[in-house]
Amino acid sequence: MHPVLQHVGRWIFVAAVTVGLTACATQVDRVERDVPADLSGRWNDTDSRLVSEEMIDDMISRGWIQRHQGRTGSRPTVIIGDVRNLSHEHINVNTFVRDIERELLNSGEVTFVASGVERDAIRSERDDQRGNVREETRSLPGREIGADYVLTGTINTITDTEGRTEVAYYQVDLALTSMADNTRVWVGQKEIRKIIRRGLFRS
Amino acid sequence: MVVSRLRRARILMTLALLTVLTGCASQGALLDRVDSDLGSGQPERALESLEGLSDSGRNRSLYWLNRGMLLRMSGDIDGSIAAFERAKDIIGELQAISVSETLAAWAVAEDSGTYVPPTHEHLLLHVYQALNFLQRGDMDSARVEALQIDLGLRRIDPANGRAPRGGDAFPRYLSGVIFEAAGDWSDALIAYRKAYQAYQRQNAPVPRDLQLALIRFTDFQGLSDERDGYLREFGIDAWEPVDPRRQTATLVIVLHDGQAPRLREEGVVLPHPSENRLLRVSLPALQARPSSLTSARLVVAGRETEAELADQIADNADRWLSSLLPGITARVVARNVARDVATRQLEQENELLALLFNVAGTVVDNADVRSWRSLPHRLYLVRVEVPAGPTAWQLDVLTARGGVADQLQGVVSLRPGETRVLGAHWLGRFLDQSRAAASTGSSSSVADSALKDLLEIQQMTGVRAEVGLPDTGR
Repeated sequence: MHPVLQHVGRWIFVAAVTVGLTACATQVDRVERDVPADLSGRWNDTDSRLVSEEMIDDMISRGWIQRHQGRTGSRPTVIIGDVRNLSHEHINVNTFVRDIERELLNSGEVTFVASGVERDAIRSERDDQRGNVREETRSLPGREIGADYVLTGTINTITDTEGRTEVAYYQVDLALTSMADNTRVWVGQKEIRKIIRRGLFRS
Repeated sequence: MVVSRLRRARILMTLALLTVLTGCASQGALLDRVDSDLGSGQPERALESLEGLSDSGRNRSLYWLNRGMLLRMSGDIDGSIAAFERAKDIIGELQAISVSETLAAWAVAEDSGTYVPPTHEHLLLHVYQALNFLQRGDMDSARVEALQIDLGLRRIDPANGRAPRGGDAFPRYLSGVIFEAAGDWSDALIAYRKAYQAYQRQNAPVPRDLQLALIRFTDFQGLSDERDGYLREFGIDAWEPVDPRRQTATLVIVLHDGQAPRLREEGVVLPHPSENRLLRVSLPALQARPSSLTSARLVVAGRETEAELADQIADNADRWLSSLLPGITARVVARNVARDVATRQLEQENELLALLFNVAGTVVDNADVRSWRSLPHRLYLVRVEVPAGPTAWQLDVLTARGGVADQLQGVVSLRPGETRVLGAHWLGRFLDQSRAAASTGSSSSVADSALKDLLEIQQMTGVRAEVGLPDTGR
């Protein structure tokens, strides 16, 4: 073989090994929260965030807040109840509930109270303050704010498959119900439709 | 120079084949060790042995399937859930075709590709994940698994949602139990119907509990013609109607009996009829590992209910293998022809190298005997209505003569309308972990002191704990 060709061949070999080793190494890229990252086509953090933002925007723009303020003279107090995952995927409902809590709280339109398990933990902490904490800094029991409304919901899916293409339709339903008389004051719905095309070949 | 390079490449290829061969042998021995540890009732030790099976490479799905099962048997339900989810991700990636692996299966050996579980194992992955969630009391997540079973089957058969080679009867039946427990009664009826059709397609007996469920739900939905058809077909004249406000609860126990059949190689090495070369035919064959369990019964408040055979995993594996054999045989022939042609060409350059290549290629040409071996041989299911509150239960494993070979006792505390699904693994005797879960894991938050009292009475008297429990009267 010509010496020049041999030299070029060596460099190609070195370059190929380098590229190969780089491909094997773990690579982490930090991306902005708003950049969608759809890897598998399943429900992800972007879906959770977008749905919670849009639904809470819709919720606080409706007339029930004004009606409540007109009737009571104060901001409504909301608690998050049961949000059930009825979809065909294991969706972390807790992160979705956290997204909803954040949007509700940041809206500034409602007072928001801790729910379920968190409340028990706070009460336990308050009990613990008795006898252990200086009196002037102690939080007293019996001063919690009761919720006026409970927010409940479901995440549902409908899927359709044809060959290696799948359509996943997510429907999130949230409802705000008055604790006083069980009347629904707001019902919201948000749909997401995803078309997932699975590759025929793998390496 | 060109010739010497070619020779070097071929020597390397031969050495590579020998390396693969060594790897296959050690992997087989490792799986045998896992089998043997499990057979002796030591899932924790089997887990340690399994660690030798690499988490990477072509056995990744097999590793995570077995790991999930062994963790479950060891009583680590959370660990088992995580392992099965990992298995699902890997299997999802493997649904696409690998050209190189397909070529290798035709040219080198049947087991040279990545292990992709057959449909019946894939369905059982969802079944065991659902059972894990049910055992943890997480009905919503168990429901997700039931939906994934349906979705998976609709991907295979969009029109009818059937598994072409069976194995879908019990997954559908369990889905019905889950939907019923979650209060999705129309979905429950659909799942029960599909289970019934699947049992019929598999020529397997339809469990009595499933027959009653079909009658109850067709009656509840007002489908009187369909209900009457089932009544006639099953010869049933009395059943308990669906009561949306029932004050009783439901206890379901799934008994996992024995070890699934394993695949072994049946092969023969033949000299070429006219040349100085070797040919090899190696095919997988199923080796059943039947259990000594003949039947089982659940005793609650003095009332005995026989556990029913719900799934014969050996039969599913048998149908699957029978359907694969024509394709495997065609590839065996193709590999022998390819090896023969390559050896003949090599002989023109170097006879020794040709001989080495032929021998190595022949030895490497193994049948694919990989399967999810930690599955049980059979599954039994028993479902009974129990009073709300603490209830003692006892599961008896019976011998052919009707004697009690082994016993598992537990106490469960249920709210009105609640369904609890428990599992027990039997490998010649109940696993210690199943005993521990029965006595402690199944008790929920309600009436803990009452449960302790019941257990103490059981231990003191050595009798079944009917004491203090209301009789269902049925």
